[in-house]
Amino acid sequence: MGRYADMVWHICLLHASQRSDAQDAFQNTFLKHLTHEKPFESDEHEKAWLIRVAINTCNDQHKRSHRNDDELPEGLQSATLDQPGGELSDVLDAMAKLPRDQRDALYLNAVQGYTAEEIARLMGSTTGTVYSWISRARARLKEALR
Amino acid sequence: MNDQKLDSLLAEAFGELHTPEELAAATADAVRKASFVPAKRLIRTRLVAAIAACLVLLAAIPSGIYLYNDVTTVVSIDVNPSVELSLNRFDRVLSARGANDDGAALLASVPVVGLDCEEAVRLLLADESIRQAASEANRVEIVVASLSDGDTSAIQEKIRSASAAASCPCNCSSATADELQAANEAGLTVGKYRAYTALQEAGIDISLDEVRSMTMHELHELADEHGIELEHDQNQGGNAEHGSGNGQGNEHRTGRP
Repeated sequence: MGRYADMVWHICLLHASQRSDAQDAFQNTFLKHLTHEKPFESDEHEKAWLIRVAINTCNDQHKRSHRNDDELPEGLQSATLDQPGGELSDVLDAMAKLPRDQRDALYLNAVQGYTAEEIARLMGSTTGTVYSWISRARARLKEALR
Repeated sequence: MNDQKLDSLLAEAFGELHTPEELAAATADAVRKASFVPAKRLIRTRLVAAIAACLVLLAAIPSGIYLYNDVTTVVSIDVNPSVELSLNRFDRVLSARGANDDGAALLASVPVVGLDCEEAVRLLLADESIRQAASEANRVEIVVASLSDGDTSAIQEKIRSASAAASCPCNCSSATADELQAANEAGLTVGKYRAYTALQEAGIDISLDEVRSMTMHELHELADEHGIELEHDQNQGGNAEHGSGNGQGNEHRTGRP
């Protein structure tokens, strides 16, 4: 669990309306990891699998709890940083206000280093759509951080 | 602020966000408990594994290893019930799982493990639950996926024969191993996963749970409402004429505003 724990935690925070939901999704993701039968072909394969399952787990949880799609990820907004209120807090708050797809796409690109094509495969979308999400997300963040 | 500076800021911010220690500990504990196998079951599991290993060795005599238990192909049948059959290289059903509650109930009443896939598909398509659903939906989707992206035309031919014998028309297509993997990770059969991704790409907000509970007919109706076409490589079995496609499972999706 250790190597990708923070990444899965980030994804859960990016999606969950409440911190408790993020915690549940985090645990469920790693329980699904435990029951995955086929061996992973590589570390990259395992990482991509965890990203997909974490996102799907969060989406299912979101639907089950009938939460409003407009609800912001409170968990991300209240995330503890060493310097609360500083520039890093501001960027996380700005991320929290992005639409879900833009948040995911920008996180996977800027933080995890995936290309738009790779993100399209992970999110079940098209490369063009992902480029659009990333571009809009960056524009909104820059505006918010001015 | 340029893109590079923004990305750097994001990486730094998320780099400061670590999994809370109590959550990591609770998760590790949950995983440990979930992986615990009681001693009796472990012994029985090991005994079964040992017997199975002996059988594999016996099957390997006099020469070569037949790899009877290797899954080479997966066949998913979607109408609601939804079931998935895992086949070996001899087209025998090694395992069967229900992709939803109706699928599980169907397999409980129609055991197919150990049968040739043609016989298995015929029995399933002949079952009243599938026939009734097919008559309402007018659509049984069967997708064949080779785990090594091999040729599935022979199995598709068996499926067409089975659907003709059961007098239950179906749409049969092939899928890649990647599609199968993605579908499994989403907890869906390939047919439903294709519908799910097509709907998502068109911007329709639908969850995996909702897709699991919907019939293929309902998914196609939803797609039709939004002007999305879910066309599969049409190799119709049953009373229809045999298709001439090459089983590549090509889809053409169009979304109209």
